[in-house]
Amino acid sequence: MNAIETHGLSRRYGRLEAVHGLDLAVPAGAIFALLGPNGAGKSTTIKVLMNLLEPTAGSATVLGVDSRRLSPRELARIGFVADNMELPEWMTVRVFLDYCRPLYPTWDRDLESNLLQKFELPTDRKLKHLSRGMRMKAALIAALAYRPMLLVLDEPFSGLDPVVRDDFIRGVLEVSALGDWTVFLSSHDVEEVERLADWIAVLEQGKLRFAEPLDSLLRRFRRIEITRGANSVPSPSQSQKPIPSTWLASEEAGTLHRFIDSQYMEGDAERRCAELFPGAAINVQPLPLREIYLTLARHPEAAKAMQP
Amino acid sequence: MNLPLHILRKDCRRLRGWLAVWLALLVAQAALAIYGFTIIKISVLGRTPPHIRQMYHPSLALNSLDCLESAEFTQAARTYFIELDHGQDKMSFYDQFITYKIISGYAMTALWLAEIGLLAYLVISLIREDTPLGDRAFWRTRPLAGVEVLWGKTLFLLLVIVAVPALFQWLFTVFAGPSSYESSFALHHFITLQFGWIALAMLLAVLWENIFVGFLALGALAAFTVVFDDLLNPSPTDLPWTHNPFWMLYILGLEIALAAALWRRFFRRRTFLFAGIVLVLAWENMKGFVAPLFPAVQYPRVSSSPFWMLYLLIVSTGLAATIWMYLYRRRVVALGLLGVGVLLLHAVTWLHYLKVRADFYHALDSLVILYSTLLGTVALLALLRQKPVDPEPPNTDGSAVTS
Repeated sequence: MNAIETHGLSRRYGRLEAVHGLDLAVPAGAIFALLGPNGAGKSTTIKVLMNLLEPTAGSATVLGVDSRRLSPRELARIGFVADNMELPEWMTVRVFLDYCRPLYPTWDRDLESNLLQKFELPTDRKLKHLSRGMRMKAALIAALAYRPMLLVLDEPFSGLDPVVRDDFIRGVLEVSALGDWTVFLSSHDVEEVERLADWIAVLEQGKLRFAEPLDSLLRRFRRIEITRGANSVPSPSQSQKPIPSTWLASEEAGTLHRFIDSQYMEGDAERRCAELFPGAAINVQPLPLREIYLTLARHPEAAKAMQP
Repeated sequence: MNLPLHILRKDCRRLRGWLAVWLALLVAQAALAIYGFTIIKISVLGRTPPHIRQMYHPSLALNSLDCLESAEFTQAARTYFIELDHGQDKMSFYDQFITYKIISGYAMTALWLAEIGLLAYLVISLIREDTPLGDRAFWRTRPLAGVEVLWGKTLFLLLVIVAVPALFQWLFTVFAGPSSYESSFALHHFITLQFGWIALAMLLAVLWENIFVGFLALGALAAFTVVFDDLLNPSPTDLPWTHNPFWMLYILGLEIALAAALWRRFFRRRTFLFAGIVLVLAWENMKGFVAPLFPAVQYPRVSSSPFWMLYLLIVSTGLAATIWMYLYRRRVVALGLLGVGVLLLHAVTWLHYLKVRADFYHALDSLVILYSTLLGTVALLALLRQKPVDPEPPNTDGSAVTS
């Protein structure tokens, strides 16, 4: 079962189409990250999913309910934290949590206390007097303490310092490990997403580039370095043999040639390299998500859309 | 009912500081009026004149009644005091009375304006705390139905903004000792006026995120009616030159420029700014000078009927727009209702002023009343149709704590 599904989802702001024909499926229990540059349509997508905006075309279902018909019953099972959310900043952390608690019958006070301790939040300080990171932590506690089935985070790391980011990610990971929660987050911060997510989708100019499990993505992308012996092997530019189209970002420097294989299969890539460059030394290295993301941004043809 | 009460408690906590100031203003008004009574009572050697309720405002609301400002009344009071003193003109008391009346009149007006400004601020802050506008409001992503938030806000308005000052009003009338008819009239008059101010503030708060834009939009509607009037009906020559539509537009432009300057200066304090604008409008309205939102009172010959029309439209449109926004968040519909209402009002005012084709005027008059009634009915039906959805039942495994 999917926690979130969208079918041809589009959202226009006047002439600007922020999201265009989005087909997305977020499997239940996944930590699904929607990556993309600023203005890609991530926040708009989330706003449509949360019924903060109406779709111009298409539809979305969240926890099996049409997003336009999300009622308090569903919202009681969804945790939502957004970097631009208007919090009641005149409240102290304690008053804020006291205000949120009666809204959720499933509120877990023990979990609330644990999270307060973990995040080291001063409960007697007003939200407006807290740093941005502290405010986000307070919002996160208010979104986690009732053990939602679905946690939606819109740009949660935006403007946070590394320590707070780490706290934030640890908090989400630890709490989501307590149950079969689905986490859906949007971000343009690739490093943090790599630590957190197990599914990655990339949105650009309102269109989905691809959606794929992180491990599959990390498995199929490799940096391959070929070191030729002294003039014994022709360089790829001199070679008459065709280079596979899945080899991207090709670079040459002296006897060193390196590229990124976007469809790496262990053994197969090495065999192809040996055929093309007999006698050359081959070094295969895994790629971090950041480099995969940049590669896909420059070579969109390498994106292989997958749906669960 | 728990969640509306929960929201009410939260709003009371949020606005408690300003509520205290507002209540202090109410107390000050009452104290000033009671002090006035005391002076009169002492001056007439312990006897309570039969018309004392007319000599000094027997209620906060009656303060604005025309009879208290008229020269005829002042003369009548003078005559009364002469009669009271067996035919001797007791000028010392009369002078004391008039002096006090003038000074306290200014003080009372200042207090009243401050109270109305703060009232607008309170209502706008109340709506903004959980606004139906935009896509960033906290409550929109919580398990709260719009109808529950609306009930919470309504409870605040009824119990705090209407009932508390009404209680003051009642206590005051009890002290002043007018007849029960006078007391109930004063109370009714006060509550009616209070609803008008509340509805106007709500209208601006629920239709525009930026109150200044809202003011401009309403001002533009009013300006449209003025220009429209001028194009079709040049001003009669017997009106003062300040009532020329172009002069009014000029003043309106000055107001907008002033508001824009203040806006840049105090951008974050938008609700304060709006409270100030309401203050200006109220002041101008009182003086009958320029009131962009009150086209009906720009003309001295207009009777109170367009006032009543205006009141009906503001209250019905304000309530309907608020209900609409919280339940359906359809701003276009709410703005459309407002536009139709303003045009209808304008037509009524215009025909009323010209005093021609009375039958047509009465037909339009009825149309406005019908329109307002329709809005109120539709809003009420929309409200009744909404059923708050119960949040999910508590966990049965005992892992969750229910508050």
